[in-house]
Amino acid sequence: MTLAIETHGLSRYFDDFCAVAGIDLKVERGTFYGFLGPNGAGKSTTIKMLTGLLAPTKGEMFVLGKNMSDQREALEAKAKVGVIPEDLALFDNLTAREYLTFVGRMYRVPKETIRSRIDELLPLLGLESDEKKFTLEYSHGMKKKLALAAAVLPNPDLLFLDEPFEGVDAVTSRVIRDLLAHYVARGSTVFLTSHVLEIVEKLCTHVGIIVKGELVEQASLDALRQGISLEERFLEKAGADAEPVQKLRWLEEGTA
Amino acid sequence: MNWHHFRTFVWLRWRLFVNQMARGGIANTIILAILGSGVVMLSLVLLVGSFLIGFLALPKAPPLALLLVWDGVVVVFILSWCAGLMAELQRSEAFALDKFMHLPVSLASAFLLNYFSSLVSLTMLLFAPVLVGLSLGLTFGKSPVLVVQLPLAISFVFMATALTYHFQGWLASLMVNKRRRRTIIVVVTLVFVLIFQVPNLINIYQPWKGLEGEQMQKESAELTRALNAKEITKDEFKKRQHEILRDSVARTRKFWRDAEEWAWIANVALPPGWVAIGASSAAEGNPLPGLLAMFGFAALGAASLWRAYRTTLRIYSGQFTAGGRTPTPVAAPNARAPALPGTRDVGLVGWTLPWISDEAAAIALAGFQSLVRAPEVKMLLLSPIIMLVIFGGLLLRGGVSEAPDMVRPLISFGAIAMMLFTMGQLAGNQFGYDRGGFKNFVLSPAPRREILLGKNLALAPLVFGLATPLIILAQVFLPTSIDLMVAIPFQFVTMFLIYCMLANLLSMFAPMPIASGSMKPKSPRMIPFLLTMLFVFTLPMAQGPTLLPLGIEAALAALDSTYGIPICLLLTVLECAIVVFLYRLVITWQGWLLQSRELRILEVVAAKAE
Repeated sequence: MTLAIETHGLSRYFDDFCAVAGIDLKVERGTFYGFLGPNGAGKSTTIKMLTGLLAPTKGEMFVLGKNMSDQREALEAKAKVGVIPEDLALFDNLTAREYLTFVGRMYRVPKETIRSRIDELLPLLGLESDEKKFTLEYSHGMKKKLALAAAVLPNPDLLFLDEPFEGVDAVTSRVIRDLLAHYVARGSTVFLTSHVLEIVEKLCTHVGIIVKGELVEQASLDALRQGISLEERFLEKAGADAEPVQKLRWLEEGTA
Repeated sequence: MNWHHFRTFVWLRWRLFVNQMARGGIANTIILAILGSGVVMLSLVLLVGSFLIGFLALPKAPPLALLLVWDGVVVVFILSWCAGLMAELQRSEAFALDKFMHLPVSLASAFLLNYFSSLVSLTMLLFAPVLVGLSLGLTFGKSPVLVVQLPLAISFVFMATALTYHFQGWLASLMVNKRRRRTIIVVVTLVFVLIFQVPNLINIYQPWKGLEGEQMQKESAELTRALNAKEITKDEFKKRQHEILRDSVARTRKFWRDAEEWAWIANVALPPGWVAIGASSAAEGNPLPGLLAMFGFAALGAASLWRAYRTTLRIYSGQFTAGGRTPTPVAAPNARAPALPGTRDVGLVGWTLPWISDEAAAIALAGFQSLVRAPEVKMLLLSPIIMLVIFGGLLLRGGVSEAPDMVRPLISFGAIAMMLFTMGQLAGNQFGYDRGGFKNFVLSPAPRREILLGKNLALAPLVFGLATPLIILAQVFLPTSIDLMVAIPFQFVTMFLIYCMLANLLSMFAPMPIASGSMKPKSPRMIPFLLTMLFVFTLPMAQGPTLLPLGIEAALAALDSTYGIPICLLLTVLECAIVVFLYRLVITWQGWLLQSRELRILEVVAAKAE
């Protein structure tokens, strides 16, 4: 079994606050890994550390077999990784085509290949009619689609996607799901975070659940569900109170 | 305005300020506290100083002197206020409306709070004491009638600030359209910069000097010629010389009388001049013009504020839209004709640069493309362009035509150094203008050396493009010998590479986040600011050695030991080769440094302003 992502005791503190508490991730190659957790659980912090956007406080991490703590190996790993970061990472004053060309060249993709891939990606993601706009004129959903195009353009072995479906319309969402399904089917790996459990349930083969910085579950989707829905299992693992929410008497009584 | 809301907003503003300070670290807080105390002390000094000037120095001054003093204060205030305005063209509200308009707060309250917040500025901290001190000093020292001057000055400040607030609001309404926003920012900045440069240009060209001096010179020359030709006697010469001098003095007096008349007319015609008119009239015992001016200012200020409020209301209610073209209907995906893969040209970003790696070329070209499109960079480029116009104008006027041969190459050096200096804000904060885009570099597999190389190359066309016309002008009007002329491009490259090595270090150790469309750092911190100052002071010293070849040739020429060898050219080429070699070594080391610091840089440049 070869691992696409492997961490040992990966932790991140912000002053005294522990955002990620020594997690041991194991993501096999060729899997579609959904990384779930409530708000503030440490999902984005983990993805930032794995992609090199944030330094861990302690612990080890290996991406595609490369030690990310080693500067030289980190660059080798980055050459095979595509990322949609949390706040995206677009240059305001470039058009979509210019930005994608820039990204492609950063990954040393041949120019002709870049051109043909852009010509396929822009219409596929519905950005063709807006390709002359600067990215600062894009809506959030359009920016997200452009970031996805940039992530897949170098044809990486591993994709890190932080909330890729947030703010994206239903049509494009379908396109992205199909695209990612084909991508995994050929043997590549996707590591994604999402709040939309239905999408995770449809797409992912493996799931990790992080709560308050701790990895509380990591298994294949089937092993995790054990006959119940992912949502129920997630709520159980996330520690949602089984008791009914205590009634807010002042809310029931009307305006004060 | 609801008092409870007012207190809450004041608390919010204070809390945001304290939190921002806390994030900046202890050193930042201490330095800012020292600077803040300095400004308060300076305000007190200005208050006392201007009071003493009004109380002791001005009581015996004639009304014209009072007029000119107040005109001076008003003009400097307006220029200073406009300079602050230029740094933040599109009015940035102290409290962004969209952050709290869903709360039970009236738009009028929010508007007024934002207006009052806009008054808290360095200009106001320095000028308010001057206006108050001078008014009180004159009241106690000259005449009680001048008591009208204090409310007059306050009403003037109200008018000026309300008018500029209205102007900023109007610009904001125009800039709802993001593309138009870029053009507006650049055009308005250009207009402001040109207005600020008018006194400078007048001083350089001195149009009055030529007329007066030329006539007297011509008459004196004619007189001397007549004496030499023995057409007149020495006595007649002396008599005529005396008459020329007398006429000249009479002309000068008439000039100043006319100037005084024009000054009065201008003061009456232009509202800012009413402050001086009020002071001058009150000094003569007539408070009526001052009172009328006060009501005039109040009316203009109130009207401006009302218009500004209407604009805010319209922006808030969505009456201003991004506009633009009506979107053309897009065919359904299935009906769309298939694009021919690989047929579209991406333009500049797709170019290949000889001898440069693909990553560095991509960064250089995309960076250059971004730079020339970003309005904040266009604003930054205005300073070197203005410099080009001023110094180019000086050269064209032949103001430095007497320069000796060995000094002439210094003009090219000066032109290059000046262009590099004026672009320091951009070169020394190369990642700050990338904002969130810097993540691309962190995520990229490109060696960091290539990133720095690309960044430096992105600047090169701007620096070379701006300095080259000035060098060409210098060569046309103050030509040097061929060998010195050939040495200039090599010297240029040497200077640029030294500059890049320093600027790279500054960019890595003192990154500052820059808001889109603005030149101001989002969360100014003192340490990066001090490092930038250090960069500014170090730069001339670092560039100094590029003058060594010229100095050596000059020294050998003085000893008559050059033997016809182009010493300067040979040494400049050698120095250039050494610096290119050094740059290659240093940039590799700086690449590793960048990789070790990139997360810290990212944390700073991608930070969001409160």
